[in-house]
Amino acid sequence: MKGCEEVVPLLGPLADGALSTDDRTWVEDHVRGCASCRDREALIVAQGQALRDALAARAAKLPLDGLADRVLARTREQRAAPSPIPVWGREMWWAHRGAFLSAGGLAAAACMALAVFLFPSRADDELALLADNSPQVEEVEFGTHDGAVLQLPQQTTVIWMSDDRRIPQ
Amino acid sequence: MTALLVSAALLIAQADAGVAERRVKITVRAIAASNDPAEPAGMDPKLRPIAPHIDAFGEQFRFRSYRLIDEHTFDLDWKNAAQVELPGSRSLQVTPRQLDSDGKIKVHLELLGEHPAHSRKLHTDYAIQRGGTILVGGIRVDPQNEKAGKLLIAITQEMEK
Repeated sequence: MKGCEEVVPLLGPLADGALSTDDRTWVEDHVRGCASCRDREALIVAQGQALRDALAARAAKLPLDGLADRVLARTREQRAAPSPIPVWGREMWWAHRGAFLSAGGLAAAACMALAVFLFPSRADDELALLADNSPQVEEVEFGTHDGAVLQLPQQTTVIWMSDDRRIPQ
Repeated sequence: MTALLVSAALLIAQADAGVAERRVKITVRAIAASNDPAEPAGMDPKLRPIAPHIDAFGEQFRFRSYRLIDEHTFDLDWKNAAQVELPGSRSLQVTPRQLDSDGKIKVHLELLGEHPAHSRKLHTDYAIQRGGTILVGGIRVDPQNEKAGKLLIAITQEMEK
């Protein structure tokens, strides 16, 4: 029977269903008879589920309604050839560029103010997405033990290791 | 003269603020996470300050009970370590290292093993915001008794008042 050190690297692929039939058979045999590897497998599955949940929660907050329509509309705008400015237009622009720039600036500011006034909740959502204040693990060393870093909901970070999961040297 | 007094007061206030910035308040809670039917189920009420984190942890790890074993709060200078004794003659060292430009605090943490070797079981560097909590766990509460459950250590960066 093969040892834990050969099984541990295959537990992730086993959980993903990515092992060949031959490998899956002996790895599953080992896991059935080894409490430590059952713990390791449970940890990997929990970590995968936590990652999926965290990603799903973030995706659910993204404003995806009508995304396809917005992309198509943007494509149509870019595809349309820019119409040449007539001579009259160019002369008017050059002669009154100061007034046009001022008016344009005012209009842009008014549009931004209107957008903030009309759509405050969406802006808040985007800020909330940016403000992920979870503790960030920059480096972790488990020594001779097995372990993992899990990012859970509620800005909860877990560094998990076990006396039971010592990898044979 | 008045201007001189105002300037002096401002300088003293700035110095006080500097002293406050040089200190960091950290609370360490040692928790027994257990599936022992003899333990009362649920969360110890003393863990209420970090209840959302224990709930999030519990959804993944599904222990039956969470009991506070010990709690210590430290008011530390930068780069000064606090040491917490844990069950089974193990210990935890927490060292606040620096304040980042984004307001997060960098912390170095070491979990040391049983007497007499006290070998390093785990060490990590992490960045945490004020009020944030990180959980470290997985080793047995009692190294000799598997049924005593797993040790969960919650390290909270307290908010300055």
